[in-house]
Amino acid sequence: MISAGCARYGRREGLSAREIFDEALDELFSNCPKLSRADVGALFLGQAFESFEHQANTSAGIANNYGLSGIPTVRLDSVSSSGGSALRAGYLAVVSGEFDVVLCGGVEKMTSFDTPTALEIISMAADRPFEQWNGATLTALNALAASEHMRRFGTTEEQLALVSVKNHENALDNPKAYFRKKVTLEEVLASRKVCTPLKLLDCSPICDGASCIALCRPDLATKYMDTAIDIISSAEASDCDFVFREDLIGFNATRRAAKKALSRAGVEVREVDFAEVHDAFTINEIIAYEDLGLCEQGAGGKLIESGETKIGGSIPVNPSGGLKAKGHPVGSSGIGQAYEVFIQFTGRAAPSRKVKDARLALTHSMGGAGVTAQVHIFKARA
Amino acid sequence: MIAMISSEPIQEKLTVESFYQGGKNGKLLGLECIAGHVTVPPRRSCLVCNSLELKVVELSGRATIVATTEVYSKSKEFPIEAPYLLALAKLEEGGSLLGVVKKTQGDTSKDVCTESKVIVKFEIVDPEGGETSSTKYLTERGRPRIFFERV
Repeated sequence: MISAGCARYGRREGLSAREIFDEALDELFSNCPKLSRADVGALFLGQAFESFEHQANTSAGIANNYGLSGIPTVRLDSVSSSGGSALRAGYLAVVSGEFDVVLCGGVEKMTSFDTPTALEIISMAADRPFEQWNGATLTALNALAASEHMRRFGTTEEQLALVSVKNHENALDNPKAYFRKKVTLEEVLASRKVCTPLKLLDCSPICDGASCIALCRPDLATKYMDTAIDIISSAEASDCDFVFREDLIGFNATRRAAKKALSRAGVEVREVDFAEVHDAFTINEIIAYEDLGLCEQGAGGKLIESGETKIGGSIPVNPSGGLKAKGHPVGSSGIGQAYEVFIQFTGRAAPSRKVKDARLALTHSMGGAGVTAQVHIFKARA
Repeated sequence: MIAMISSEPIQEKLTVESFYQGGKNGKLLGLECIAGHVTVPPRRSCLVCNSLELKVVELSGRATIVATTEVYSKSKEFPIEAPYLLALAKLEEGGSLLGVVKKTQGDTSKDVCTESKVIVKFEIVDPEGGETSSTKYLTERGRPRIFFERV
């Protein structure tokens, strides 16, 4: 990874998806003056939903709009892990030898409708005939997973809320974050019910946003950048939809992808200096701790309580503020995580949220209730 | 007389459409594989062992609730008013379904919980469509929704 850019997440009034993505590209090229548009061989764009702007084939429009003229492009959808899919596709494109330099981007414009309509569109993440049709939204599926986690392991609503508290605190000094104010445990617990046990402050926000990274062949990296960041492994996996499963928790897609990524990198998960994980709902972060192997299954609640996953702890998780506080413009999230790796490794993070001496990081993106997942491991070159 | 024994594997299919048609006719249909595993909701491969050798079977409708959530924030198009109690129930024979739990008079949501016994019911809620229904998709017109009734 030789550069990255990110448009501020939030309600970006007056801007459409392509304009928000332009912001991310502006920063990406400004962060890497030696990289020119003519160097870029392809664009892989994560964007989940066509319905927000009634627009398909966005990647070609977006690439040519910016003067990345005539390059191969494709839009990838795996709902919340669309960005992760874009990262994986870009990685494969470079390692295949077909491309020297590619861009992996993600974008979502979600504020073009009122909330009930936006929720209707987002509910496409669940299986149409057997989940959506019978009253399940993605939030409801995660709520069922949370219920089961609480019943089986004694996880509490307070432990779920601690994820939200931590991530809001992390986002305080993140200029790209949507929410930059603390929330207390009491505020999270008192927030209105969405799908029990999940409350408003357990759920990531609907918002606009975009991000983009540039990947190149490892031997070309120093042509563009002084300090190279290598992607030392990349993996992805899927699972059937929620209603078809024997066991509601954990999420096999994450487990499969994590196992492959860690073994290919030759890394134990506890060796990473920090992780950016998928926390669309607070329960997702707790289950991710377990599925990634940071702790035993069922011990995720205890792990958040311990403080070890705070910045300054033994394994910081979501120093960016995560999807919860930085925001979850769906297609962008998986790339936004890689952007955070770039910011942390190149010393650009504000002192209050800087992960000291960070040189090894893991990103985890997930689509639906564990239907798709990608895990990537980044290492700063000596 | 020659007895013809078919050596072709049984690969019956149960489409989404046929499943819900069965429901309209008062039947809960599923698929049983050659090893006896039951797959519900229907799909092309056995959800336990991946086998493609499946036959259509009728199930009892008896199920046990595995998890519930009270839904306050629903998809605009879903025709049941929020809040409603959504449950995942495991069928007696195998497989699971998602559906709304019907409220009996005097019920509190505490009465319906994990381990509660239910019967699967199919009901058409919005036959003609309406502003909040999803009958914009012709393929879904007249399709029943899944409910759970406590026993």
